[in-house]
Amino acid sequence: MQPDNDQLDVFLSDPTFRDWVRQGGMQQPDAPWSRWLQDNPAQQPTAEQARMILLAAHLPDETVAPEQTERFIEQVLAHTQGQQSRPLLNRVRWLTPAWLSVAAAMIVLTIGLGWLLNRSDPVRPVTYQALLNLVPASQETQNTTDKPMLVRLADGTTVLLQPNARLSYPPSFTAVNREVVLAGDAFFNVAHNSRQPFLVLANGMITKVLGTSFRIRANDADSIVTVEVKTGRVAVFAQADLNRARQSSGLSARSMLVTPNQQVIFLRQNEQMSQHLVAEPALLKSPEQNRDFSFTETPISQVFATLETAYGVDIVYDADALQRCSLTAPLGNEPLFDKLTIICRAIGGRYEVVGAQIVVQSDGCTD
Amino acid sequence: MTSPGIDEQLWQQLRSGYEPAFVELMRRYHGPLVGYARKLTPDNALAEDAIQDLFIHLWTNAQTLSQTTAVRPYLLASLRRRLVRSMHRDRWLLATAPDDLDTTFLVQFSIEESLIESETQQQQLRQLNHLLNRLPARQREALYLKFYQNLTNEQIAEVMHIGYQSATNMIHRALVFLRQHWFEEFTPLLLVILFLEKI
Repeated sequence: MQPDNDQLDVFLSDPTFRDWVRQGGMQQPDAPWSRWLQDNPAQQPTAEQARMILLAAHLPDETVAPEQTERFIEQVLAHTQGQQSRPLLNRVRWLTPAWLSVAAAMIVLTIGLGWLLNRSDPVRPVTYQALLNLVPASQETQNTTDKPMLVRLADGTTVLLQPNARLSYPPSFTAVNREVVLAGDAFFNVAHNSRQPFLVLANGMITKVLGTSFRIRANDADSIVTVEVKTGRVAVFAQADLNRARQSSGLSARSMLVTPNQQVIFLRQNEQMSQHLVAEPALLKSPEQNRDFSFTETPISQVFATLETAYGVDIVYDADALQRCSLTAPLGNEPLFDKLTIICRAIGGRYEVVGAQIVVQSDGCTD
Repeated sequence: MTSPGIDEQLWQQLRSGYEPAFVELMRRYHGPLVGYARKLTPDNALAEDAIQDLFIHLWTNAQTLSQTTAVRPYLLASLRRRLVRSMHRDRWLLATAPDDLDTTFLVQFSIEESLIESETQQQQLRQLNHLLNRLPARQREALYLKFYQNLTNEQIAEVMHIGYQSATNMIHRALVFLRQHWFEEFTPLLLVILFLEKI
């Protein structure tokens, strides 16, 4: 019974297997798991047991309403407001008489510095209203419906506005750049024009492209702004670098170049940005070899190379340690992270997403 | 699957005392934590307080938090510890002492009705569901963490504060129990029925 129980636990432990069951199992004959089971009939009884357990261990959907979460956040912030993290409070130890005079001098100095910094560097989060003064845009479309709304701009660019999103833009693009202002969540498909870059200003983050498609989420209530790139390349700037973004002077220290399946998270308060993979990287290019991601005793380096090309991601691993590892599995059209979960189980390792890279760790395989 | 990189990045920013990252973590984890807390205690106010205290603690101790934690198991484990502590503390206040957390887990699994294919299957599922709900509390909790919080056996051990081997054994025992009482009698029959229905 032991080996079977292990296999049962393997099925139950696999998030892709659980999703497959919840989405109807064999009722989708083309799902990778359905096909895999057809090819491996010996596994069918155990898989069916795992499926029955999942169906009989159901819990009703118990998601918490977003309003409840927002109320919770307000309550917590009411407690923590003005509180600094503890090590800063430890400074009380410094308040010995000898230090007090120094402190007095430093306070004066700090006030002076603070005044200078405030002049040069406004840290107040940038809002939609404030941006309207910077951009020659006279038309505005707001999506007041509860469905996505398509807006077509004068240059042929299309913008899919999610509910509540608004977009401000000129009736025709006559300036050096095509500039629009966004509040909310929208997907852009920008008409290509290498001589007139397209700029989206949203809550302090500027996205600059020549022609490509990407999604921006810039809700006023959120502390972050994100841009996810679907095709092409996109440059992201902080609002403070507006002039640099408007000229074609390339990237600054506070800007980033984003490629497909990557996203930038921009923190409004300090205008910091960081690069990540999107939550579900899309297939960019079907592999020519190993069609359908079907591998048979394929060396692991080739498996990773196939994934890197197909999803435009960067996989980091120790090639020497994994030299003896190979993979036999039908990975099909499972999402990238599910494919990685299956591979890591096969090679006894685990993966981690670090920024925009995927790092795979494993002690290697024996023959 | 949740996006693994972002949570850890936010955690990193929380450690440097950056408030927007703290807010974003609350937005992402309030729901999962409420779901877990309600299965550990019937007292909704106690559950909400514990989650609130947990986040306030995170903020005031941000700079002493460890670096490489996987965020979800860390938060679930902290919440569980807090609830055990406060239920212990309040024990004397209550007319009837609550059972220890280790003996109550307030989950009654139901049956996923929408995916039932036949009358026979429904009967099987009813029986299996009955067996699942008869499992000891800790085994049901482990299954919940596996199926609904997407934790690995290693992370389940961390959250329930037991060794990795005990967690694996516990899940193993649950599966043996289900098999002994159910599968061995019914599965061959079931497969034949499914096979016949397909023809």
